[in-house]
Amino acid sequence: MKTDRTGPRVLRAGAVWLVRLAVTVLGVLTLLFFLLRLSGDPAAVLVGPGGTLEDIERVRRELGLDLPLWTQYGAFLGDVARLDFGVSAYTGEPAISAVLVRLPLTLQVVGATLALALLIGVPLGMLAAARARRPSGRAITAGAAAAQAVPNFVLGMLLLLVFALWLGWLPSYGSESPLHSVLPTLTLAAFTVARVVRLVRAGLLEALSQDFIRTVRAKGGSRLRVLARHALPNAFPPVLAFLVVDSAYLLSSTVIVEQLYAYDGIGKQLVDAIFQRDYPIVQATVFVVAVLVVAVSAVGDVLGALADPRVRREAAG
Amino acid sequence: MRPSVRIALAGLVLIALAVAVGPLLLGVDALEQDLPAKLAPPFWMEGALAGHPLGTDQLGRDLLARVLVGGRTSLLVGFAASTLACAVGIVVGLLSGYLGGWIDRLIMGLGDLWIAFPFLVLAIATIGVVGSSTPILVTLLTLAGWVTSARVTRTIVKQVRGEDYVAASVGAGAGHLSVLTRHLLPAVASANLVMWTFVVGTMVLVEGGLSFLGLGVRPPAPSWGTILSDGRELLETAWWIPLWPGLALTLTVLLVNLLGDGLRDALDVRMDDHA
Amino acid sequence: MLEVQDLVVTAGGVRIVDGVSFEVRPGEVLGMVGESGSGKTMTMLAVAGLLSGPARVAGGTAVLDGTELTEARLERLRGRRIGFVFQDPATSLNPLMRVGTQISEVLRIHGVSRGEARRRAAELLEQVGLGPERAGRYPHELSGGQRQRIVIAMAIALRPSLLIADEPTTALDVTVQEQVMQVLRTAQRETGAATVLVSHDLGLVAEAAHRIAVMYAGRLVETGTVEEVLGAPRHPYSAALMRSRPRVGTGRGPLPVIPGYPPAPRSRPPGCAFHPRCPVALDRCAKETPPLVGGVACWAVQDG
Repeated sequence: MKTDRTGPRVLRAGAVWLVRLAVTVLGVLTLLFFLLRLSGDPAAVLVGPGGTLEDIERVRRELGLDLPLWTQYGAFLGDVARLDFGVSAYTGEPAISAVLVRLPLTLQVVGATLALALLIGVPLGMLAAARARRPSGRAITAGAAAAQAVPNFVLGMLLLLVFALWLGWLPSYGSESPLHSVLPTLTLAAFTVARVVRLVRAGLLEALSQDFIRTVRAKGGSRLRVLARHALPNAFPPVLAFLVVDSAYLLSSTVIVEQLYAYDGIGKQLVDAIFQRDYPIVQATVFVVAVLVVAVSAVGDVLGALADPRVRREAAG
Repeated sequence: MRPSVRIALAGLVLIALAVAVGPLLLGVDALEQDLPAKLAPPFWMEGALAGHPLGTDQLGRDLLARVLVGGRTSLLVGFAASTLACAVGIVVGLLSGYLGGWIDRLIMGLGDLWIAFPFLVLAIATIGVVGSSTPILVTLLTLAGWVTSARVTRTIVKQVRGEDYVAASVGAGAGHLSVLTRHLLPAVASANLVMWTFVVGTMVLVEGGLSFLGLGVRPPAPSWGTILSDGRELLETAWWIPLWPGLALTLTVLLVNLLGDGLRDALDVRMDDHA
Repeated sequence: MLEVQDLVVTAGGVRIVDGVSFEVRPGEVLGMVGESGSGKTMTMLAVAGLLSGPARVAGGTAVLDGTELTEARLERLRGRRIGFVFQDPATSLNPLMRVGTQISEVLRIHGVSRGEARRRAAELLEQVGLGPERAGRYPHELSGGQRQRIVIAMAIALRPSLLIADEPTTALDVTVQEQVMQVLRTAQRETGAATVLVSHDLGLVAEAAHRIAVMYAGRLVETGTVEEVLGAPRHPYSAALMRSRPRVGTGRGPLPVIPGYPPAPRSRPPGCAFHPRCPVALDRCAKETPPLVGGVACWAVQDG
């Protein structure tokens, strides 16, 4: 029952994942390609204000910008397939490697944020659900609602001012040491922890309202057993589904927070590249982010299937 | 009405009134520079200037006037974008749920992809390319926001379609348009009201974020996000510049969320996208 | 032996169970009947301490084998001394847990070792007519009847002295109702538990119960042996209930119905709650609530 169909199931899930990856990445990059081409003359931008018309014409020919749009699009897709997004207009290094070099810094912050969200958010959410009608439970819920309302750039400036500029406990700008990632992580974590608290609480209350909880009580199960052993696993799949969707939001927030702390992840790189019109970098960043998003949702699917035998069977077909 | 809903409504009305008529009553130009008066601290601090209760920025502009005027932009963009997003979402959701079949699957599949992509990254890329203006901002925010409303609408339409009174009216020969507007639209109204409330908060936040990055509203016209962005450079010397727009943003979003939560409970709307 | 005295359950200030008293002896099956909303399920949930939402026990006592069932004691007695079979097996099992684990859980909670619990769970599965290999299944992999057998296995696992079955077959297909009832009756006989069978199905109760308690609008209106209550009901409500019961071979004429509707808990009339619908109501019935005397709560019977 458990093992006999694992092979085909994994293959099928893998195939679905690949299709989704292809559709997402292709869709986003296509959109971006046409936006970039419609926005003006990249050759003129590359040559800069000092260049002559001949310079521009030469660059245009070199980059194939004189060809019809569809031909360019075809060539672009070919480049994407080879992960070739061109070279950075400023540093001259391949765009994809420029982005991948910065990726670990971003992943470090995002990973630490998610870890905090689980370590702090889940227990607090359980407490809020267990004491839903009592003052302590209400206080946690209200605190989470308040934390969700503070924009990350506002909280970020506050933390920066207090802990870096006034108290001097932590470094302010940059990303030279692991300590530099503390404030960006805390800034991102405030919202994410609050979100997890509310999700876990809502999921648990929903689970606790189901009939089988009464069965556990009828068996003599304690409150703790009811909450931890029965309600929590049942609350997990919906909470997970929300978190997967939220991860897109988290990546968006990373862009702002990295910019605020001058933290050299791919978010700051993207904003810098936009202002410098360094389009290869922009495209490579969007590509990497699209892959990340699909990867997160694939991991979410796997975890969701592991957690719920009903989904497991559906996935087996 | 629950007390929380009343407090939230009253607070939001006050904020809206303040930004709408406040600048007129105040009579101070939010764009007027006064370099000798630059970086004046707020009223309780030493060196505060009369006539600038919340202080001034690096160009000597009055912060109270700027926060009030900036609120107009922030709230206007937020309201316009969330209204448009919900309108688009309702239409798409109605069609998707009503027509069903492959159109439904296509639209919802698209929505899944759409919602999973970090919108800000796309918005930044787009604005970087086509430049920024209020219409572009509203358009982008609308594009970002339609999915949640469409999903909620579609779910409800699917439920209501199966119910007897709708089936009866189809059986009685009612046209598609009449079924859509007379039966389905009212059924999705309350859920979308709640949705809209939450989306206003999100939109105000996103506008703030984009403006903070320098990709939102163009200076010198202030919005809460641009004032925050101005303050970023001078955080250590003039922390009060970002303080006021930061407070205004936080308070607005808090009240909007409170209102949304209250409405959701009062109207008994199940909102799977906002736990 | 279960003895319930003057049990009162309120919800939002309304008495949904209003002074109910009855007793069930070991080995005996009491059928508790009444329309939906009459308070029969609430009564038994209150006895087991399983009320949820706004409902609260507001008065009265329940004593099981000499021990008063208080909130604190019930936590330890449930599962061990009190077994409960719920109405809808589709929702009364944890969907994410193997059914074997759910059966052994009741044993583990009450101190049985892991290995012993697993062994007992396999035995229990056989006892309710399922193969021990089903232990590894999840609830969604079983039929409604099989799931209800699992719930029964959990309820009798520790040989409780009180077994409560709340509409145990109502949610099941007609074809498996009989089998599940058979399992329940066998289990009841083997454990010798005092049993309360809550049901709106008079036919089911007639077959399975020794005694019957009829509830109307939160109160007991008649109790007696199955023969007494079904054969010669004394309370006008019981009588009407028996007449409205479909029977095989009694022609195809319309079933007699009781005129009117049972009152909502919030708008119960004063006096006997049945008097507005009662064919033999006296003046007194609208003013004073009749007590349960000699197994019937009716002024017309007691005075007449």
